Amino acid sequence: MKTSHLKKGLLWTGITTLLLFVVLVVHLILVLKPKVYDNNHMQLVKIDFPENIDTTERSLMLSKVKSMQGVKTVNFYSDQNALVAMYDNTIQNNEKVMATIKSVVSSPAVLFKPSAEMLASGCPIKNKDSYSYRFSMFIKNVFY
Amino acid sequence: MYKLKKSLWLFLCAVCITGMMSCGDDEEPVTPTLYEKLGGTTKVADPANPGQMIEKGRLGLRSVVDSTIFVIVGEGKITQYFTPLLTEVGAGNTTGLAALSKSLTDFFCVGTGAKNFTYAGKNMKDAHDPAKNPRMALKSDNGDMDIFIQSVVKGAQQNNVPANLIGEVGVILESLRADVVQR
Repeated sequence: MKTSHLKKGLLWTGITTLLLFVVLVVHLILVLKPKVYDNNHMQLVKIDFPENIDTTERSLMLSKVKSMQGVKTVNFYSDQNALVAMYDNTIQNNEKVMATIKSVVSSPAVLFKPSAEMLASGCPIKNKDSYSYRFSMFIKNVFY
Repeated sequence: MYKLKKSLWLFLCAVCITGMMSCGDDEEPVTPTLYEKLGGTTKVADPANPGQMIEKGRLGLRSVVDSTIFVIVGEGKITQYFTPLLTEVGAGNTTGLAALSKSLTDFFCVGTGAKNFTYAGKNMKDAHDPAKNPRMALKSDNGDMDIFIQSVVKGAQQNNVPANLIGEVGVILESLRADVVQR
């Protein structure tokens, strides 16, 4: 009699756990539905100039970068002594932008790369080492 | 008898129509939302995605958001909150800029009265609390908020948004100050 009760209890616990797991998976499937991004591949790049560059070189550099295919916006910020550009990463990359700049500017140019500390504390970023993130990504990879 | 009935029906119809018209007169004029003033749901071609259409209101807000992000990164005054945007991702992958742009654009769309979009991110208080959002390295202060609002204004000006509408956006942002500023 007792064994029968225990079996029933275990069975219902198992069924409940299974149902809750299914609910969790369905929830993740709905939540992790791939987002539609308006400008999916727009990449930002910042290039610092430790030395001042003259206005002629600066104008030439801006027009050269602006004329690159896939570059949407480019600007030079004098108080930062830095160039910022926005480009389509299916067409261009940071190296190509740097190469274009070096072809017209003789002063050194430094590509800004965020440190690990900066990456851990800025927006947007996710903790990719967490179990919840890895489980979510597993579900996403299975269904999408 | 038939004529009398017909007259009665016509009289009743006239009363109903007059009643409906007078009800319409009593209704308060509908004030357009900021989203509608920015173009609303009118569909236009999306310059970022050839062949696709986008609501004009969303396109306007997205352009402002993208320009704002650009200003923030370029001026470097509050870049510490956004440095991951400068991480280069592989060709064709979704960039940090795209992720932040979507989130902020969704937020602005909902905040200005759009009906066809939802914002799924954290509320403003939690989003800016390092204890609840590990992406926030430190709490932001009034100076940071001022710079953010100034950046939005510059972003809007770059996109030729009329001054009165920029003012309305400013009012919305100011209403968030208490939640965003936490030190």
